[in-house]
Amino acid sequence: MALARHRELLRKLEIVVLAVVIVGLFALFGFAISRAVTADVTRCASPPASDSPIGVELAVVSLAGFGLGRLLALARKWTNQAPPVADIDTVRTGGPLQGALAGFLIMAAVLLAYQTYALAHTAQAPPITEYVRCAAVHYPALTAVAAAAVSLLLGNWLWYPTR
Amino acid sequence: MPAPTALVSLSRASLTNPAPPPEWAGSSRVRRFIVLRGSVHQLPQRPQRLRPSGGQAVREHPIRLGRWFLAVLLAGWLTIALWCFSQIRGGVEPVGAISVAVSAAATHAVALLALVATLNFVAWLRRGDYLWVLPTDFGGVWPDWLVPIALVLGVVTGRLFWH
Repeated sequence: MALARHRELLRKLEIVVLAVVIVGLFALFGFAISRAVTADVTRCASPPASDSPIGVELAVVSLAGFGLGRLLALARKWTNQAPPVADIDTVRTGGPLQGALAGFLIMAAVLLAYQTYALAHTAQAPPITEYVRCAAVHYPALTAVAAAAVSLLLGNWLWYPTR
Repeated sequence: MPAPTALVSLSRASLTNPAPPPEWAGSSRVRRFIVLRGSVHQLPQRPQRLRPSGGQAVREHPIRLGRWFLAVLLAGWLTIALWCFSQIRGGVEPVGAISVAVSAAATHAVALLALVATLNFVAWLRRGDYLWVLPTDFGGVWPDWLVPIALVLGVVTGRLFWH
């Protein structure tokens, strides 16, 4: 197959794409945090108007990103000629990447813990949901880009082919 | 990728040194010698716990904690479910109680994964044994499609109750 001759190029392309997505996400979240610091997110406690299409649009974008993440995972598996996950009985991830994964999971656990606390004590702390609603209302295009990028990475990671 | 140092050392040693005594065979105390520029150096006694696999070094001897991990995960989820049930029976709005419970359940799962990832990262730093919490054989079940099914169910449920 002609593509098989270009595996090395595709590997480089894979790294570039993932790096662009991750760096772009950091930039978007940096912008979001800088805006959220001075914003009053409690105004976004109520969901958008029922006739607003933004919720459905973001859901579609997220699902599409998740599906695209699966396709990306299939492509990465083929490019790297990785063995099926079910046949792997050893840790093949490099140490720095393991550290990054641990850091990401710790951050996710802390954010989820905050979300749980905020849902139980809405008066004391606004849930993350309200930040997302504010972002969707004021910056729908940027929110869609962030949702697609996050969903792409999640689909690539969680929906990686097992065979 | 170059072969692991220990492997190179052993292969070089096998060219220049006699085979180790039979009583050392298969033992972690097998002495390893390295021959560089005519001099003989003894490597540390501690085994490297690395073996080559697919062009890279991977650690051996995983500590399999799958059942313990599952037990702790399910115990946490059961506790959260009982708390949620007691809240609803006590008159709390079901949607609110379930929101908190689901968020707490996700926090519990991600926190456990973060703990395992952190321990594995520390194990990589210390060249120790890593933890293995997932089975490599899912008993013929193809878990790939569980992910999108869960995703669609989540979106539909969210649309119905949390809009």
